[in-house]
Amino acid sequence: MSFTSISFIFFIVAVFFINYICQAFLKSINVINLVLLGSCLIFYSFSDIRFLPFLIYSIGVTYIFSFFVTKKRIIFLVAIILELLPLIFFKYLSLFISPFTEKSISLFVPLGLSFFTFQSLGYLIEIKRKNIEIERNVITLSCFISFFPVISSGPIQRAGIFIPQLKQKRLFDYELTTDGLKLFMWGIFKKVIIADSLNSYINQVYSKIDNVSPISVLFSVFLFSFQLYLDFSGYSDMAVGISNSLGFRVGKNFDHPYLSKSCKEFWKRWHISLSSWFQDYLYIPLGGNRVSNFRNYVNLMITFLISGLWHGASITFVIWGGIHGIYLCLGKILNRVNKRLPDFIRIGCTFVLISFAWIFFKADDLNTGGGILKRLIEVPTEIKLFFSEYIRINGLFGAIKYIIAFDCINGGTMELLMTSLNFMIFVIISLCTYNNNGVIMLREKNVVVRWLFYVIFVILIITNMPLNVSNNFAYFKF
Amino acid sequence: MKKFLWNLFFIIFIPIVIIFIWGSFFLFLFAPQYKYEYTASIVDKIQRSEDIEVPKIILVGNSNVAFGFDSELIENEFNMPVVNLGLHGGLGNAFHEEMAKLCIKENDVVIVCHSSYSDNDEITNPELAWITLENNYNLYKIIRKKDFIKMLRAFPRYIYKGTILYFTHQGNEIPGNCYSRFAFNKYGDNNFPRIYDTDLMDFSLLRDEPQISKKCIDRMNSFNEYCKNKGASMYVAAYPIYRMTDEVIDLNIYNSFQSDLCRFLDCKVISNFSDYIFDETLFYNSILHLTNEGAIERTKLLINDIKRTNFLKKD
Repeated sequence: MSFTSISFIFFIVAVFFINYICQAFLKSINVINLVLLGSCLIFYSFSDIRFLPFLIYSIGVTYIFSFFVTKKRIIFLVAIILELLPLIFFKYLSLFISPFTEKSISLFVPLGLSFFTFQSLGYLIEIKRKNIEIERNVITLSCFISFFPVISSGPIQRAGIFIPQLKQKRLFDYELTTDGLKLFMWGIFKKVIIADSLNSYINQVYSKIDNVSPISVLFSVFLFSFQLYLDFSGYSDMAVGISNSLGFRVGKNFDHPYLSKSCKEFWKRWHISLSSWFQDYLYIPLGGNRVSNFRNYVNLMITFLISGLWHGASITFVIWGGIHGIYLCLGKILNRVNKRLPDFIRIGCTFVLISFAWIFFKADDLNTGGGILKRLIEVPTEIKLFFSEYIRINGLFGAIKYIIAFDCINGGTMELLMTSLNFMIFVIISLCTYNNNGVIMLREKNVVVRWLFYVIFVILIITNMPLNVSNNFAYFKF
Repeated sequence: MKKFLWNLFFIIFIPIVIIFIWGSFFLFLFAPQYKYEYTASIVDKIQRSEDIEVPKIILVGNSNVAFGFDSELIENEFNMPVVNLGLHGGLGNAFHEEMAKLCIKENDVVIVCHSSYSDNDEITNPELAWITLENNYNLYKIIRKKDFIKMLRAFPRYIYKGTILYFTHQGNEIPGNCYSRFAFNKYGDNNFPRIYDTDLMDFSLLRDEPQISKKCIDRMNSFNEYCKNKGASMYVAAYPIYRMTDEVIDLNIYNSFQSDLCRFLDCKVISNFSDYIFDETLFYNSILHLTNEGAIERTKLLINDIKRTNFLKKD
């Protein structure tokens, strides 16, 4: 059940009312959490009921081992291995078997497997470190691991922040609920209205990679950076919005990542919950930056290679992770030079570097990634020709048509125009909210401005809503 | 909670009211915005059928019909006026049949040439349906009750695009290709010069193994019933089947498909589908759009089918 499906709308409305009715009339927090757990399991079963045992397995392992992980190191290691088993089986089995067999093996990965596994692992590590108390109530722990708004693609929750919220009554909070609803609408706008339109365009260009100009390929590479961001951050906004409307405070997962001035800063703004997870549970235990420079580079490389592997059992993800590891190592070496550059150049360079790495993230295999790189090599010569000849002959509109490979794609001028308009709205709102929380900014405006904004925004969503809304999110496969 | 629910209600209700008012303005003041498009030929096709007082032959289907017949040949052969109602496939079989219902009079002969018999009895692209109908209110009868929700969902997107077209003065442009309203002759055939050119071929639509759905059959049988009640008769003929020059197509697939159609449909299937397998050189820019030469070839086959089954004389 995807957030963009009709069935989810019915589901969430029902859960919303049942949740607040329970909060108002039931005294026992256990019963309230039991109802929440029921809705989480129903949500999960809708994706594929056959995978429910894996979620229950993860809950079981986490619950049982949480009592023993502090006692002996070996028990802690066994717990980690048992937690990782389903992940290894579903995501990495092909990696181990494929060298020995000619048949390709691909298994359908249970929804959110990587996310709830990491959430559970984080909980066990925190207990081992004695940062949090053991959660003895199995219902509370189950709710934490299977919390439906974040189970499919995060944000990955920290037990220390989330479990205390489960232990208290979550009475209806007008501001939190309306903020959640606003965030949900913003997520819909980013995902359904912009990201999906960009996705269809990018896929068309990528499928005709040899027939479009190198400049169009470069344009699509940059556009993919935005498409992925809009898709994933749109999903995250929806997840956070739903959590808020159910009375939970969940941290944000993205913070204007493409306005980062360095790759290091990028990782503090992109997929924040996963980056901080890797930082706290892998990078710092390896020694972090409190070691020699060389060892620090090794730590960075290990962290990013594993982060790449977390995304999928494919060499392209490993390369993507490796590229980011190299970026961060180089960033450390060139830190002084980098800081002297004007901000806009730093932001531009970071964006170009990040977009380059996404090539391997999107590519299904090395050949596809290599094919795109080959086309990009031709860009410098093409750019010269473009400025000296093409613009002069065809004018500005001709040049735009050339860049977007207008003749090679289906969809028409109107669709492109609508997507461009919506994209501009997104850019303007994003820039306006760079230093402030957009939802709080809006709350502080006077009632007329606020309502005008809401009405225009809802109309914009309704009029741009495609009939066949895609239920696929880029990060579902992870 | 009460305040929240009221606000939620208004946040949904106010935009809906605004869209309704905007939509009314659009339809009465700004529409049409697509009056020279391919789909706008619906007006001319319906008009022709209304103007004909005597019994006529009505060709029904998607663009395989619009881009696939030379109606003048049929008219001359049987001395009966012909109306080609072929229109964009994105509208769906149900739309084409409902559109035909507006034209059927006593003693008419309705020849249905769908290219797919496995539809879900829905308007495939409701936004395209709005573009087709625009402010021709007399054509709104084509929309069935069961299509209302889908049409309603597509309405905001249609008026939004239409409004942009109006204010940017991009609406009502004449497409300079085969998809212009002016590319159709008085019969409703597309008579744009169409010759074989591999560069023009769009393979986004591929040849599927023909299938039959119960929903489609049930609807076609009730359409047949409608024709009977109107005193008209309905027949089913084949669509052009694309074959690459060196390709060998298994005829059994089409033979068994045809016998299934004959079994399930209450009306007569007059063509042998395997006769309608045409070489790629007779196709224009899609696997359903024939070249001018291909259209003549296909028309000849249909004439033979009509003669063979002898229903015109009999009726």
